[in-house]
Amino acid sequence: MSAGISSSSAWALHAPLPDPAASVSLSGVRVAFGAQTVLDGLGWALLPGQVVGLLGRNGAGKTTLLESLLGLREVDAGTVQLFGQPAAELDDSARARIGYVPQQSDLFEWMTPAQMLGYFKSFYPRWNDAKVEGLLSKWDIARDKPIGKLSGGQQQRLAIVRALAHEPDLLVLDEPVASLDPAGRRDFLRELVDQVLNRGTTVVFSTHILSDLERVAFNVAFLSAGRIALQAPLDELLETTRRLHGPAAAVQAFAAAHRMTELRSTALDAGRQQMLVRSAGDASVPAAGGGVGVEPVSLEDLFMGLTQ
Amino acid sequence: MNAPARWTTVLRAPLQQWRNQGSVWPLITVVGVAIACVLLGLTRVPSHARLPLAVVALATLAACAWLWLAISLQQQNHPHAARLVPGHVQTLRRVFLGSWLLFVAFGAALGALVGYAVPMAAGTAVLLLVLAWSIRLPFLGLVIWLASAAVPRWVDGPVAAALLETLMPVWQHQLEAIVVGAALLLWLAAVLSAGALLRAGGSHHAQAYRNRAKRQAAQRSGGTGWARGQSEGGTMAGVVRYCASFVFMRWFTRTIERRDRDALPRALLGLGPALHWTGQLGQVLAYGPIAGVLLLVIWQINPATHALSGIWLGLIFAAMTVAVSVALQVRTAVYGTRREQALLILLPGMPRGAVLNARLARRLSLQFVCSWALGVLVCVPLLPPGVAAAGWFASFAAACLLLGVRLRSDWSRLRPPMPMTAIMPLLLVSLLSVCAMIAQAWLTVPAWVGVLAFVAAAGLWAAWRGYRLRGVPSAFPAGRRA
Repeated sequence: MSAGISSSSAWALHAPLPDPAASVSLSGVRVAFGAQTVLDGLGWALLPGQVVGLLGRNGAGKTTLLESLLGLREVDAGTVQLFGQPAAELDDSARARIGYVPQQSDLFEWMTPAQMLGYFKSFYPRWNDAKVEGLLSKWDIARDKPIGKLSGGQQQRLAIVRALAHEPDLLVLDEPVASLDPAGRRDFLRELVDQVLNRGTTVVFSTHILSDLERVAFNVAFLSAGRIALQAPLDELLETTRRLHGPAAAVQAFAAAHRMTELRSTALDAGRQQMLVRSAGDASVPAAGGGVGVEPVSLEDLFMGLTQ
Repeated sequence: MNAPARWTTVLRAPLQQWRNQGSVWPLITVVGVAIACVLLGLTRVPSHARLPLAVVALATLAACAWLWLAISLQQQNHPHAARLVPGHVQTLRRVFLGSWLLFVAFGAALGALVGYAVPMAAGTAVLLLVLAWSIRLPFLGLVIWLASAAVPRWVDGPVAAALLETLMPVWQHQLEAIVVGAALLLWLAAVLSAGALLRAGGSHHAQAYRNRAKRQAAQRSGGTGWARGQSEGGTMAGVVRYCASFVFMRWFTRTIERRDRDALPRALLGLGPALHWTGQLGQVLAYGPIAGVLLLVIWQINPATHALSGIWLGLIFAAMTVAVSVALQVRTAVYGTRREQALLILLPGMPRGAVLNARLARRLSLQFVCSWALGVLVCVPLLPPGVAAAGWFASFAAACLLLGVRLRSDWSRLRPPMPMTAIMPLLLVSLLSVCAMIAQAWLTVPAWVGVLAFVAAAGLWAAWRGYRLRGVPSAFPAGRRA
């Protein structure tokens, strides 16, 4: 499914330098609400054509990160660049390359879908009417019914149609499938994949539905403690990450001997330890031995381990 | 939790709501200006009238406090809690009845100061119940207002005279029995009201609760309720909303088709009719005929216009409220559309930062000044004859200009609007205009001095706000730095 979609290998993402080639580049970003620091020296870069699922616990700052990324929220420190421009001072050509689906889709409730789409069309230099009509028909969205009277799922689909209509180069989606049923989520993911395959769009979307991420199997980024704790292609991540368990000293020795990077460790009873580790990209995953158990992990295990 | 603790929790809720959702300063300011108004008034009336004036002022303050509590109790009466939380609805009803008794006792004590303890207690008891019901039935206020037009005619009429002649001997000979009977009847009415206003859950209650929540949202957005496309409000709000939407949507369609070079006016259409001049024009077109019908009804009830000063002044007050509605609705409308603003700010051609702040402030201020001027032009011919009415209107209209300063705010720090967000500022300028009138009389200066002072204050304040706007973050999306 992910064939043909560019993906970069995993990299350490703490405060990288701004990448001029990146669609999105954040460096040393700090956002605080009073005494509560939400993003703390965050660095992140999204390369053209990359599709990234952003994962994090409730309140981890996913929406704040996406809003900061789009220049909708001022950052207290650091820099945010979109297409090489400061996010807060984008020119019109850069804006025309951005599509955004916010978390809440009950917007412009007093308009009908036709009026809302006509309204947005009037601002963009490029607008794919055929695609809009196709999606409205395919997703069964009434054109002349007030948006406020559409179901939550239909409102969310309409928001996605609006974001795709001007064929953006960067698509930012904040929990886009939260209100969709399984069929709606499948349709949405299919559209997303088409968009990426056909146009090479850079996509970043936050979600809690891990099964959807596993289906698209692109990159995943874990947001924890105000930073991107890890970003990597999902397939590679699942392949190279293991859970070790056994006596604490043995587990640590095992990880060191096999040059594995510790992602998270938890002390268990009776001097035992559980450790989430990652092998180097080119190293093979070792088998259990020396009293240390080695188990494969699921995306849910990674989520639980990396977003604590 | 024991009963006193439950009572305390319920009684603390109104204050907690203010503290959690906004600042208590607007409330403190209004109360402070009201007290200043009364104190100034006390210095101007003859010594024998001071005590009655103080009693009336305290009674008004108590009625406001009761209204605040009654609104909170009805808000706390959520249908789910009423059905599922043990003892919830019983506690609310007991607090309602206990508070009612306390307020009636306070009214009786005030009445005793001027020698009318029993009538004052009875009047307070009735007034408090009417106020509590008016939250559930907003048209009650309109009915009472219209009925009051007929009071002079009824009091002077033969029916009232015959009634008085019949009841007076009974009143004089069986006073105690009447007082006890009336007290029992009022207590019964209070108990029935507690049961009817604070309901025990179920689908009817749920529907009523939803309707009331919608109505309050409509009031927050200035009585028309479209800040978030809400279709709430009663029939009158529906008519007003229809007219405003009709005018606005025609302009909306034309503007989108025209695709002007300047994106801001087009983008602001996305915030809906609440802040747009066409929406306000639609409101005026709707309220005009409604006001005409009301005048006709009042005139039919009592053609003696000299007795109707209060009614006329009420209409003028309402007309000026519509005229300055953009300033009253602005916070709710801006806050209510903050999520739409996040999309609008990403549109090509949409200004950001200081440019957006300045242009937004200029557009809204121009709209405010034009509608204010139109309101004054409409109201002047409606003024009843006499210097006092003209003086009050001049002072009130000039004080209304202060509301325009609200349009030059740092919207990035906007906090969620409170239920009284639209009404508090209007109350404040009304009190300020009364204060100014009393101060003018005290200082023996002509009325135009007060008017000039308000105009100068509004101008200077607006200029200072405009200067400060240069350094604040982009207005949209609103509330992100609150």
